[in-house]
Amino acid sequence: MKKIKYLVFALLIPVISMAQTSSGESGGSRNYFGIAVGANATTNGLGGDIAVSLLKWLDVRVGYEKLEMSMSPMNLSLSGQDFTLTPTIRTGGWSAIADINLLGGLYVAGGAYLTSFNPSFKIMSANPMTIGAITYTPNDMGELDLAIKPQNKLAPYVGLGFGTNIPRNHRFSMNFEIGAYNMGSYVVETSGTNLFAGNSDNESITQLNKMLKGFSWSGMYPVIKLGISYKFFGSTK
Amino acid sequence: MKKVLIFGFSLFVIMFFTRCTIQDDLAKLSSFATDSLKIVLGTPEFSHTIHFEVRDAATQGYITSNVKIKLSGAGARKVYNNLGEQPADSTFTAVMGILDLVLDPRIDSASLAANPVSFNITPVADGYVGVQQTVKVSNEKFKIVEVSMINLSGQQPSGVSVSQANLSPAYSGDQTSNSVLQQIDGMNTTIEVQPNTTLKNASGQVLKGNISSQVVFYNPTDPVAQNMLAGALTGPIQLENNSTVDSKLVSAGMYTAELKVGSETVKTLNGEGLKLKTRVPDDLVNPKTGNTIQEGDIIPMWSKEENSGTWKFEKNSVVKKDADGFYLEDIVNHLSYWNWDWVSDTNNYYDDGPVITWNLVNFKSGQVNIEAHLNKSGVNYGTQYEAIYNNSTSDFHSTPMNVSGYLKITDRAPVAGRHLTFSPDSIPFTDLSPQNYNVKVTATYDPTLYTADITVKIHSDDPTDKTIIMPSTFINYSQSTPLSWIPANMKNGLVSVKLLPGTNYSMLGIFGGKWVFGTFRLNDIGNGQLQFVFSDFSSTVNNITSDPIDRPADGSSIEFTYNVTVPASTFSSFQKVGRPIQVNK
Repeated sequence: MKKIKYLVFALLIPVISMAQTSSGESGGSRNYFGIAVGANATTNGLGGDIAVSLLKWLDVRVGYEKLEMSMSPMNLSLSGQDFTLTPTIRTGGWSAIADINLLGGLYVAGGAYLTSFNPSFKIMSANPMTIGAITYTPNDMGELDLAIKPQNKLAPYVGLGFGTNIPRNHRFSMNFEIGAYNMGSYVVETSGTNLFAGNSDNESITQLNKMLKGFSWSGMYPVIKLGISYKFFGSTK
Repeated sequence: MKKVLIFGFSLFVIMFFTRCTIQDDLAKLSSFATDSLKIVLGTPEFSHTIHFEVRDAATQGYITSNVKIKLSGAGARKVYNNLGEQPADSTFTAVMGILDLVLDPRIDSASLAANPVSFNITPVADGYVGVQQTVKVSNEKFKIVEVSMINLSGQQPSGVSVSQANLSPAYSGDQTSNSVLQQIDGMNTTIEVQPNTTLKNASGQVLKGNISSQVVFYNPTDPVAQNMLAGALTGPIQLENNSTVDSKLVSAGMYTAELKVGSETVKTLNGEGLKLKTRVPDDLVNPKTGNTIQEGDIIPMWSKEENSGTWKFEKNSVVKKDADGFYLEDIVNHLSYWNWDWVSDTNNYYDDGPVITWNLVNFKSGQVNIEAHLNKSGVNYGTQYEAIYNNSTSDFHSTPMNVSGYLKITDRAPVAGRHLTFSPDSIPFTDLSPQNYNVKVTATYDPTLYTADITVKIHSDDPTDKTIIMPSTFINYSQSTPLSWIPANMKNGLVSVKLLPGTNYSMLGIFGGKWVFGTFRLNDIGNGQLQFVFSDFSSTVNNITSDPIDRPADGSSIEFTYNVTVPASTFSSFQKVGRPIQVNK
């Protein structure tokens, strides 16, 4: 909650300032209503949105982004035992965001993400292991999965952008946006199979999650977005 | 420019409020990862467990002193303790009457069903004598093997005669010069060292002097005695024509004899040898003829090759008769198990008999007695002990043909507060042929009996150790008096037990060559609360009294975590199973 206050405080400064400076410029009679579709490349994945300009200074958009990427296995050595660690980056989600357009293409965005944030690591022994006289393959031993999940899947979002998500005088426009959504906290979950199955009830992970909840930045996900929009309905004049 | 400055200022504010804590927070995380983060490791869960229960044959109580169980035969190298260890001499130790071994997990179930693993077990304990028996594991997840031993100084089981004697033959040169007789069951059963006999040990060394003799004789018509031999008389049999079959012997009388001169064990008796003689009960049925025994009937004599567990044909003996009745006598020249038996064959016995499929309601597993009451005297099947779980089957093998009777099913290990009902509880039959039966077993519990889901987490007392072991194994628990062990499957540390408040329970966990034994109880401390007390555990395990636990709603389980702290030296033995890594050590 504290970090949201910081962000709101920080973002209110330009909003108020811009609102004051733009009050004289925004009194024209243009029809800003329009509908646009957009394609985005973001730190939250690739995706698209559909945006509607409701008022001259207000757009709303609904979008979906997805990022899922399995990385090459990495070797991990712990006290002489070799493991393979395979990270998978998995994030994205649905978003519903309102943009308040300020002067000169600057806008403030606020809304929420229904996030699918879920990066994970799969850890397996790199070598067979001999227990007593019986040798187990890594598959026999099973795997340990460590996933980072959101405390809240519905995460409030604020951002600041340049450009617009709905072109005003053209069919196409571009935008650049930087922001963050707040999932409450990161929650580490562990699970495993075979020899690692007991990690679903790992007390030290419970303690770790308590610690994470106490960190102001825990649960924040930064979003840097570059988008292009096409206005397919509405005036371009 | 003004807008850029405003935007930059905003970002600065954001970064300022977050960056200042990140460094501290990351330091805390790093410290936590180094000091407190632990990894939970299980132990391998084996598909096929062989559960040995070592009992006094007369009292049926557990033999609580340590019992060595030596494995031999072709399948012995496929059997391990639950730490995956296999002693070089294939000898394992039963503790408090219990030993759990496992089959090599690399054997898949399909191949096991087609090619069962057979091995022989020979129990050895001070003050007791037992017989070697053959164990065959086909596809059972949890096979119970009953090991009965005779207390040499205590009560002897029905139909078993034990005799210990010191024999003092005279010697002329290396040979005995007179005969010495030992009565086992009065004059009904005797052994007699013949004159002109040279005693030798296994390496061929001649032995001379007083003979310390221990002989056990098993009455062929006594169900208790024959039940002890059920496993001993089943297995590979080398016939007169030297072919080997896997079958069952039907006993007409069996000896186990151990003769020692000093500390040396007699293995061969060259020359005239050792005469075995026993009376044959009049009502003993000759399975070859289907009639009671007659003078002149032929009964083969067999000895056991102990390494392979194979019964080897030695000679054909002829039933004789005198004024006191029928008898068998013959001379042997080496010591082993000696047996007068008929081989069960498909003319008289079914290789595979009835099959019972169990349908369990309201509980997960249990043990039953299946007593075969046969309407034909002289034909014994005895009691078969079975571990059952839902949809498991109990198979009968080498069952006699054309014998009617009934199978009676009862609870083998009654638990206070638990009641098992069997439907049907008795299965009549006209013939022990391969028929399928379904038996529904329903458990009901007294309201005072609680289900406790106990999670066991094993920690090292070395605080730098980053591993927690949550084992998968079978533990055994029982009301402390009398002991009646209930095997309970512990999976990744979690085991479910049924407990009566205020009752002492013993608990036994075996991990390879180590074990944990102690007492626990669930106390009702009033105000709707319960409390666990773990006590009397050995010095390697901490005793605890739990915090009060709210009494669960009807039908709910009590959940409790027992954090067991053991010395690092003990913990390392668990780690041999559960620990592929050492983290931050």
